[in-house]
Amino acid sequence: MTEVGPESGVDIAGVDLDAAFGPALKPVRVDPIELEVRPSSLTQLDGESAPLLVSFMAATENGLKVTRFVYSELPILWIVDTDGSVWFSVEEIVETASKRFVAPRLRFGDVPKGHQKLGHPALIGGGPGRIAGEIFFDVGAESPCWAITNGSGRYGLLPGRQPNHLTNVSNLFGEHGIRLQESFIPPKTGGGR
Amino acid sequence: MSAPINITRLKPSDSAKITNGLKDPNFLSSLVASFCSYLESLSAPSAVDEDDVIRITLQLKAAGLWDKVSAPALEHRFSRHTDSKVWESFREALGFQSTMHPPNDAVIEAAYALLHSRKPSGFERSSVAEQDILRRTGKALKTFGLPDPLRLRHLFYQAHVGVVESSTGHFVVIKPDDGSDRITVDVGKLRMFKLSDLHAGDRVTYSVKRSSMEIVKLSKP
Repeated sequence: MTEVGPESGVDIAGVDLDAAFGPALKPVRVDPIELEVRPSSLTQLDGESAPLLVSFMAATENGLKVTRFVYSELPILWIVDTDGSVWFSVEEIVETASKRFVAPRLRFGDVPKGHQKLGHPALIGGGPGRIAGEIFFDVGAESPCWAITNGSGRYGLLPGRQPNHLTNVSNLFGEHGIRLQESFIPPKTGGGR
Repeated sequence: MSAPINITRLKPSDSAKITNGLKDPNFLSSLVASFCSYLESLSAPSAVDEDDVIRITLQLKAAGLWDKVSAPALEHRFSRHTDSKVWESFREALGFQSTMHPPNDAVIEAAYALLHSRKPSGFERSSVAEQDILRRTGKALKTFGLPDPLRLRHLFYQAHVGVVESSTGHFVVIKPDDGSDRITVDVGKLRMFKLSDLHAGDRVTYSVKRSSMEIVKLSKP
């Protein structure tokens, strides 16, 4: 793992991005296709996308069963890039040869032969990233709700990731009116491979 | 075998259930068996999703599983059934080195017995291999003050009540009352269960191996 230079640790508003979202680290492994292909559903969290996300999530939270049961099995991947921007997409399966989108990958689904998944590195071109994880609808919770975790083996679970990094991402969503139940997974204790 | 929690789809709400369940030795053994069953399903290297293995391992850590069972012992016990890439990811997640002499762990022995015990005939006649596993497991469990794995038999087998739907002379087809799949029994096996014959309409009780649906016990009530 290599950290990006210290100059990238502060954004234009003077926020210490390293402290807020953890240092930008190279993933422990990247599939070559994740360097080439970006997910079709890739979206940046901003003033344009957030209202759409709010209405979609609210409908689910208010009881729309179709999306409840889809998004309890289909995690939305998210990551904070070196500049502190938040990107999200569903985990997509692409055909290896054509690199074309085939289907979203359900939590329980295998990746068929001749296909590959686009994991977190594909959201930011395989480069260094800050904390990352998943958002899904926790249908089994006492009060079913949208949950956010740092469950990314290649960025979010690297040694040094802390609960406040996840809280700060959750707050970014919160600024747009998106309420998420945080669930911090303890990171790996050793170094990368 | 019924898994208390679906390992591949762990959610925050499952963490609390796992944490509470860890006090129950049966739950604990079953959870470890379920996790290892998932790892064993990743038989081909291409099927191994390192991200998933790491995430699930750490989610179980958050729930407190690895405070209860020894991760090195688990790898040692199950390693020959699973692709090495899986264990690399497992070790990467928990940050330990592989060891040839891990500590004995009763829960893991029980989980191994749940997944790999073989029983070729009825309950009364355990195979030598299974007797050995159960004896060693029972001894280990006793050391740790845990219940005998014989009490976990229901996880191996499922008992049914049903009715003989047809009997052709070669095969007997039994329709279970609970609506599960019909089961076909070779008439040659009836003697093994001390039955001379069965006719359409006869009520029967029987048990099947959950792993293979092989019938292991059959009788008329």
